[in-house]
Amino acid sequence: MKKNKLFISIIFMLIAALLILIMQENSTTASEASHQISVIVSDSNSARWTRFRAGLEQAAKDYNVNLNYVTTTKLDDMEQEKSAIDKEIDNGTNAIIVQLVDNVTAHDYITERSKNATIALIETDLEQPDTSKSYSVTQADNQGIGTALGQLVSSDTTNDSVGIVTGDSAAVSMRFEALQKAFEAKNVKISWTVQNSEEAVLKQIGSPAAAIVTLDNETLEEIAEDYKDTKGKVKIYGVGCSDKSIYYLDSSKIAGMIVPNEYTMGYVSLSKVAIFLNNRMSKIVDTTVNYFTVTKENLYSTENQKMIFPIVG
Amino acid sequence: MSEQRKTKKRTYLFHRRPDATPLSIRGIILTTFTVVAVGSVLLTSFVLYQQFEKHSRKMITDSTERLTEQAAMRLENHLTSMREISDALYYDVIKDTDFSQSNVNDEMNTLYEANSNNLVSFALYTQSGQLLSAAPTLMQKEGLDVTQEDWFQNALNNEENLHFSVPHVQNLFNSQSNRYYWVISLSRAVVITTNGVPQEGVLLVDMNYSSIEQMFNEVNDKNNGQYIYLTGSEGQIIYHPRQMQINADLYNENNLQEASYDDGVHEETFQSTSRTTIIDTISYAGWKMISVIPSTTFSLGMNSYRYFLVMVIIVVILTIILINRLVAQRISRPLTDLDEAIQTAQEGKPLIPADYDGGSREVQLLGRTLEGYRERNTQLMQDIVVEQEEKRKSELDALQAQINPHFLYNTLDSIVWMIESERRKDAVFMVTQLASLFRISLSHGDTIITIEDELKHAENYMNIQKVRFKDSFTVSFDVDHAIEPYCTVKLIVQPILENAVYYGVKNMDEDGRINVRGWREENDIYITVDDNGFGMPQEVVDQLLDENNKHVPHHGSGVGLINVQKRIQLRFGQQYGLKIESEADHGTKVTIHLPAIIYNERNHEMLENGRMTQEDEHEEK
Repeated sequence: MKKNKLFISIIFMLIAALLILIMQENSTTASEASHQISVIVSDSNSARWTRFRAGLEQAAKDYNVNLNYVTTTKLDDMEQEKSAIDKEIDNGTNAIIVQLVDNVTAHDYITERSKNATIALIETDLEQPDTSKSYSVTQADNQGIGTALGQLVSSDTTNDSVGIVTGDSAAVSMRFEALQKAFEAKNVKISWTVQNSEEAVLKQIGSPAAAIVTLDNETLEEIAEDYKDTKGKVKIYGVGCSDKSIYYLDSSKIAGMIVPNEYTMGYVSLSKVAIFLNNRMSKIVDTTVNYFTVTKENLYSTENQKMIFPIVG
Repeated sequence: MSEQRKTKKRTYLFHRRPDATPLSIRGIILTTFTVVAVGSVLLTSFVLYQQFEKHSRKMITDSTERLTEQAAMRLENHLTSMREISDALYYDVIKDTDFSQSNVNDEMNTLYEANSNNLVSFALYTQSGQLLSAAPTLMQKEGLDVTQEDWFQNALNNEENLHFSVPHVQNLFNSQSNRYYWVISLSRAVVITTNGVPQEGVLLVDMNYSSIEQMFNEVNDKNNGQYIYLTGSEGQIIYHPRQMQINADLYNENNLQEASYDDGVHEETFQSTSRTTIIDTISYAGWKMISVIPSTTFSLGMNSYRYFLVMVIIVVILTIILINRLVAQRISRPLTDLDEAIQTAQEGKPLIPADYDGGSREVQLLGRTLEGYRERNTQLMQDIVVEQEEKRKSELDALQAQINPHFLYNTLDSIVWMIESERRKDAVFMVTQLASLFRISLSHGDTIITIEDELKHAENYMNIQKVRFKDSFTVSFDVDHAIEPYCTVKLIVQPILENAVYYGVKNMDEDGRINVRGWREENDIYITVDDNGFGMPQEVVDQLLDENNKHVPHHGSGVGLINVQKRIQLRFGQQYGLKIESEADHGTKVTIHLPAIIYNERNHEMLENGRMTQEDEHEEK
């Protein structure tokens, strides 16, 4: 009787193993690109995101996930962004990579929504980071960028006074703080500080500064455009990452530029999320990506051209 | 020694623990067959898998090698066509042109248009770096000094050769659409004629990097981990499917090492991953085309095969176990049947041939042998019974023989005494009585007689004794005549009377008295002999019928009583026999207890031949 039980249990075990194997084989063949990751950034089709997007796409390919790069217009406030995020979560996305328009008020919302999908922030962290860390951050080294920009501007001794165009993103305010400190340290006089390029043009007429410093790609392009025919009378510096701003640098309309490593930001943010989705026991760590200080002189150096002109096939 | 070891081994195999239940034949067959079969299946599968893996590894390597060769050929063709364009431009256009009178812009543009997919630009520079012609027609960047560029210097330093640069961003012309091109520069030294004076110059053909990239992206389209990349002769990466990750330090490649390998297949370990690389050198540019097959690619291809193999193994093992079970059952069934038959045979029933006929020859033989043993055993058992019976009979005869001389001696002693004292009448009476006694004693050699005869015999005896002891005691017979036709063992009352006489009443001063009574109670017959003699203490009484008691005298009464007891019990059973009651100075009473079996021919014969069983007894009653 006992022997019979043993015999029957062996047979059962073998049959169970067989069934498990068959099921597993079916699931391995069917498990292609099982996760969907949505990316929400402001003005998604802007050339400013070209490198970031190339990084995302490469990582999506490497980690075999579905990338949904959500098409957006310029997001002016958090409400617009929230509705875009909610829509993606409702559509059943597994994770959202998001550039916050406003990192001050979004705190509760991000903490809440991280229960529904894995959330990864790019460019900036929340102003008051969540202690429970329900989300991950892949941010540009905004403080470093601000400082480096300050140093770049002050390295040219003719830049005795500067005008600063801040812009309105969360990253910009962090850069701005670091920039101010750098200028203080180097005794560079800040003639004026304005919010956008239109104001800057007006201010420059009133109290002309030797250099205008911008803190994001969009403003940099605008200012460079505004002053492209002044033959370098006013030096323009800024943080940029689009082909256009690089072209302006190449054609001496911009004197110097900090280029955040947007490709790495895209690649790293998505790969971290993909790894986490494949193994939810793993932990997502925050990452800060580097940046490059570029002038016309070193634009074509072997190292710089690799990152500044991405081979985007 | 070796035999010993063998035995030990065998013992270990099937009886590992002395307290464990030994396995059944079916279990042993099933276990051993299954272990051997499963072991063979696993071993075979392992060997097959190894072979298959080796084969598939070779196939993947071979096909990758072919793919690499094809890609190398395509690239070579591409580079050749680029070189041919450069040749055409130089030998057919530049050489025939005097640049003081015209330039070559038109020809360049024509050639450019024809190959615009693969080209970014043509440019012809003088030795000092001055641009002579270019296609498409573009504005040169301000403040540009091409003489510092690698492609320019390489061309002039080695005038005989064409030079392929590593990919770089073209930095020659003002781009109108903010577009920057990754190019591979093909530069060569040329002779430019101005006013009939030849001078050196450099012809630059900037090849579109994206055509090469596309070419390789197609090859690297496979999603199995293997890829092809391209390095310069020094190992600097020209194309890599993960070029951007490498640039951003997100990915590492063993390019510097691999570029130093010779053409062919190499095994290496990079970042603790073993992989196979196939190197192919591109003849024109000196570039290396490197195919990388990570070991995971091989195992990826083997995965489904592995699943399939494991499934087949499981199915085979299942089948083996089921078949083995059937076989084991088939082999062991006749044995278990035989075993069951033997169990029942122990109860005396014969083995039925059908129980073992179904089995193999050995089992049938075993069944037949066992049946033979069983028959012989039964025969032996019967023989033993007969032997025992005969032994018992001879014992009976011996007992009888033991009485006869004992009594005869006593009687003859009396007769001698009478004749000596001339008491003829008495002597005649004695001899008559003795004759009667002997007649009954002999009874034609029978052991079983009627109670009537037995009591007659007792009377004869007592008559003799009374004469002998001069009527010093009285004897009375008070017997129910109804018991007379029943069976008894002969000569059982006489020894008791003898005891009563010799140890009871012989030496009494007063009148000794012996009473013999006989009656029937239900199915039992009782005959008592009681005297008023000296009697005995209880301990003596207890010892009288104890066969093992050494203190009982082995002559006279002791032996007589034990004999009587044994003879009664041998014929009628342990529940019958003697009962002795005695009290010192008050006399002794001996009760003979017999079954009531009527004396007839059948009963007589049955009792003569042995004992009457209880069923017989009751039947008889």
